[in-house]
Amino acid sequence: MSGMLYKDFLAVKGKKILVAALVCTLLFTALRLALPGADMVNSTSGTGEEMRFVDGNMIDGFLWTMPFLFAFIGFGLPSFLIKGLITQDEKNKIRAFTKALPFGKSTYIASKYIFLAAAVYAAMSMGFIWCEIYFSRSGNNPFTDIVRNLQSFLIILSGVSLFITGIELPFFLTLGSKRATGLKSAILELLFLFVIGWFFFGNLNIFEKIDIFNMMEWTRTHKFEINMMIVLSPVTASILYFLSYKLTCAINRNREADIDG
Amino acid sequence: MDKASQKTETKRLLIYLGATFAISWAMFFSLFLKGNSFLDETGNLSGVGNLICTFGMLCPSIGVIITRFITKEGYALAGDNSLMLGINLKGRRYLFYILAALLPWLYVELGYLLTVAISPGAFDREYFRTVTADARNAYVFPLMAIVSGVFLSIGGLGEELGWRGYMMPKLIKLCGTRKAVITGGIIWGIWHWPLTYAGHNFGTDYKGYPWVGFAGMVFLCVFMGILLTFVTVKTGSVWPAAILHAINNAQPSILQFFINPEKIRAPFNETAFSFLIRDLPTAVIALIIFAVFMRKKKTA
Repeated sequence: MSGMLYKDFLAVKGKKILVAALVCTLLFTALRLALPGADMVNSTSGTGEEMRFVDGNMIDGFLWTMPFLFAFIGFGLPSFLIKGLITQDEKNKIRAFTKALPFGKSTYIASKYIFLAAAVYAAMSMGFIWCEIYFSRSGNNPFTDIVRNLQSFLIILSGVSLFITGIELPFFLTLGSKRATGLKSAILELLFLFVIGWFFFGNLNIFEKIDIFNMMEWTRTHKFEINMMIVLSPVTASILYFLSYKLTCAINRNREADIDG
Repeated sequence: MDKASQKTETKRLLIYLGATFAISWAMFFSLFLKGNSFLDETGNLSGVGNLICTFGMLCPSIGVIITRFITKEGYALAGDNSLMLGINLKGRRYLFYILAALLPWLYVELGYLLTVAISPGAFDREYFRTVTADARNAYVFPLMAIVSGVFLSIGGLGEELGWRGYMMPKLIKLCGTRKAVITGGIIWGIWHWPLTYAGHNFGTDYKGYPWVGFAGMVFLCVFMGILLTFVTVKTGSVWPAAILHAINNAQPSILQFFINPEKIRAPFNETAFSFLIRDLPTAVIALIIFAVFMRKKKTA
């Protein structure tokens, strides 16, 4: 199993990804430590109007996007890795080769599930560390609140990421990368068409109600619901992920010829 | 164990300790030298202090990577002399993973129960309102701590890869389990000293600062070390220890939301003292587990 995982790590150019993530983390740390954020202050204008503004530089207004970017790259990473993994295996006829090894078909499938679960764990852990880096010198302002919300949502994101991976993997392992990618593209295109259609005929007034500050207020007043999501989302996703693994094993159990074989 | 391999293992252990202490202490002391404090004006961990602690928790892993590179021990994920990252749930090993997830809740809750037993006046049904407006958040908090501990255990893993995954197997080989858990706990406790000095865990406002804090940290680490070593040895993996460590750091407890620290009677209201009182159940549970573990080992 360790060998299979290491092979997958090399197949997706894991070392390069790790080094890139490490360099980005160090650069972000340097940037954050060099550029402290400023606090939000209340003040009264000359006309007696109450005002709230960030007192000092607006660096947090730029830096808050970094943990977000990193978290969302991490969120999409497993989905991106699946194709690379399966394509590499097909190219090198790994599934045929594993038949000569002293382990069952389910070990090959398990290695893919474990590798991608590890990728979700690593990506979300990095996201968590980036949030911590951001907080190290951030000011007391709305951008910090946004990142704080992101940090508490990371576990929910990792649950969703695991759930999506659990849906994609059976298709890739059963149909092969070409057909699975085709199917995935078709579904995404349909979704895109649906969104476009909604833009033409749907009620766009809904966008007027979307306000980041209202959303943050909602997270403040609905702490219990968010906490329940934090508890239930990864647990449910893990159970579904395990069921997805069992399903893939069942589908592939009696297959004589593998996709690449 | 023959003399030559004893010498090799000692050398490897010293390289690991040297690398880990050098990297982490350099980072901890850099903050002192810059004149910054780990605590903010409210007495809580400051932003930079928190970042240093987060990075500090990753240093034992960096120490292992460096040591294994120097000693050419390799980076096998599972098996003998490996990073102990494999997960094997067969042979009822899964029970130790469940234990790792639930044990911190038990001893943290017992710790707070002991605090209430000593200071009944500190129990305040409305105190949770200073932390959260909704009491339901207090009831769901332990579950949140457990789930976060499992899914975001990176800090715990960072430490456990080094302490339980590398140092403890070497110490057990060199001096046997009994001496190893004590020595390992003391080393681990000493490693925390700069943070203790900076006010992490106990603050700085207590009698006998920082020496009481130093002793307290060693006491805590010896007993925590027993629990962490136990689950690591039983499963052959650092994951349960990482999970236990991460959940322990989150301090899962419902009772804490109903204890007003200001009403805890003297001298138990001192940060270091109240901390140690809360950790007594951990020590008792660790000793029971250790006694059972050693007896079984002897019988085997």
